Amino acid sequence: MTTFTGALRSSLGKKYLMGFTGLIWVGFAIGHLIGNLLLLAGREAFNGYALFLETLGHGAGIYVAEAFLLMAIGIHIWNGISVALVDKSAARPIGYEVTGNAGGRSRKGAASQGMIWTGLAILGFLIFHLITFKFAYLFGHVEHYTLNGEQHVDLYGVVVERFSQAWYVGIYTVVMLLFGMHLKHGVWSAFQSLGLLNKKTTPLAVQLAWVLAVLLSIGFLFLPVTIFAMNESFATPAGGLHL
Amino acid sequence: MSKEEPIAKKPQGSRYTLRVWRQAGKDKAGGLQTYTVNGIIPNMSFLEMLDVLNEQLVKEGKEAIAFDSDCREGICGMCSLVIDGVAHGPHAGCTTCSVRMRDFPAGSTITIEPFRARAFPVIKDLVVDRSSFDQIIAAGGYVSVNTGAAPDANCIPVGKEAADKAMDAAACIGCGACVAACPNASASLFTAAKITQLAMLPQGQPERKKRVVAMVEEMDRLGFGDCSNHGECEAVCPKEIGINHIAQMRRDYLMATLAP
Ligand code: HEM
Ligand code: SF4
Ligand code: FES
Repeated sequence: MTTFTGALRSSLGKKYLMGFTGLIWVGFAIGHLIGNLLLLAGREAFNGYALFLETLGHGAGIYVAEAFLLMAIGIHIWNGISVALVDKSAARPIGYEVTGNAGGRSRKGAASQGMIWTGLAILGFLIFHLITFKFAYLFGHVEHYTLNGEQHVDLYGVVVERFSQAWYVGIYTVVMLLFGMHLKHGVWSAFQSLGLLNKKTTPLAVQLAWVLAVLLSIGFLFLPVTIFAMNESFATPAGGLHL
Repeated sequence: MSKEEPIAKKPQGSRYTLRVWRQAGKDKAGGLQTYTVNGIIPNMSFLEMLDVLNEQLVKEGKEAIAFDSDCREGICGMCSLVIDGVAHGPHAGCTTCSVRMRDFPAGSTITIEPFRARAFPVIKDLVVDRSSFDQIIAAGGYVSVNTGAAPDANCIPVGKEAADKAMDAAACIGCGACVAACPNASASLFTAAKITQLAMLPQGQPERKKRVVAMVEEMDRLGFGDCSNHGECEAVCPKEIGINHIAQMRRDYLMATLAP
């Protein structure tokens, strides 16, 4: 009989891994969004939050979390390419001249068929996102502030400066809409992939997917657009949103 | 005496333009060819329409189009065809043989292609070899104890919900439309149906874990794709088998491999 690790390489196993790692990242995205909302509270609050994360567990916490997330997304991408590109094209070498949609109870659509493309767009964005924020200090000068005699990156300043640039906010907006599409199919699909759904719970999971897709995509969009539109308020020394 | 009424004129029927996949044999090159067929009345079935076309072709000294059919009443699973990009055509919950020509506007163009999957090679024209489904069944889709004569009804109690679910799954006629419709050419719906129809019943329990592992592995070995939960299979399935059976298969496979 197949072992569990062997089973993870089967067609079903790939989907357990996709679903599991996808949901880990959905969890991260929710936490990340809530944390980012501190941008509205101002420079001190946001930088304090960043420092809190960096110093969690004497500075080890963030590395553990990063390694975990990196592993999860690596597994997600590896299996995503396997399912949606490699196995897919191998299983139907000659395609149809005409493709239709049966309608009715089918959930096939732009979101479900575009998973690999919205996913790869997210991947491209993630790399770009890390370069412009997390590793900004490697690619140019960033402001620092001093706290208890120690120098720290003024991450708030980096973010607000980025979000004053229209092209950056534009890219951000497009990718967040694609991210929403990925979640609209991805979230309910993950539960189905893990074998957790039945006839009654499937419509609920589909609704949950809609809600999370809208909340996360609009939520992540809201920050750059607001900071762009109200840059004068955000760029003050205290920062944050003053209405 | 009134004059005799003229006999009602034979209905003229409509004309359709058909684009049909023609392929001389396995591993031969194929392509879509265009035909016009006349005299099609709305109550004809889709396959009767193809019969009319074939008669026409034979009269013209051309080779008839090969397609599969047997019962022509929606129970055997032999008919196939992807009609305008949808397996078993536009009518939900219906096999190709039960689709009527009234579903197609008179004078329209219809594209007819064979079921496409590596595991379903084309034999000729619209006929594909679906024996890979038999191989999935042969891997474990049975109860291997000798059951003897039919036992008394109700001597093994089966709960209503389990019985319903098993019956839903057992409605599968093995037509292969789920594979044809799946963007990934996955056989998950068929395999799941053949697993759950036994997994829900007491008779299926002794071999439940062995069965799910063997059948899933055979499905993968035969070169079907992975399931991305598009749900297009459920929408084309003539027996309206739900993807909830796929979730059941995933649970069973997980349990069977975690705790063999
Ligand atoms: C970084 C690059 C990414 C790629 C290349 C990618 C690719 C994919 C693909 C191809 C699928 C469909 C799998 C299938 O056909 O069954 C998928 C599903 C999914 N993705 Fe992603 N994705 C990425 C990032 C993300 C991120 C950041 C999240 C979450 C925030 C996410 C959440 C999900 C979820 C929940 C699913 C459903 C899993 C399932 O159906 O079992 N993905 N992804
Ligand atoms: S699950 Fe439905 S579509 Fe698939 S083989 Fe069975 S009857 Fe045909
Ligand atoms: S010919 Fe038997 S189901 Fe269509």
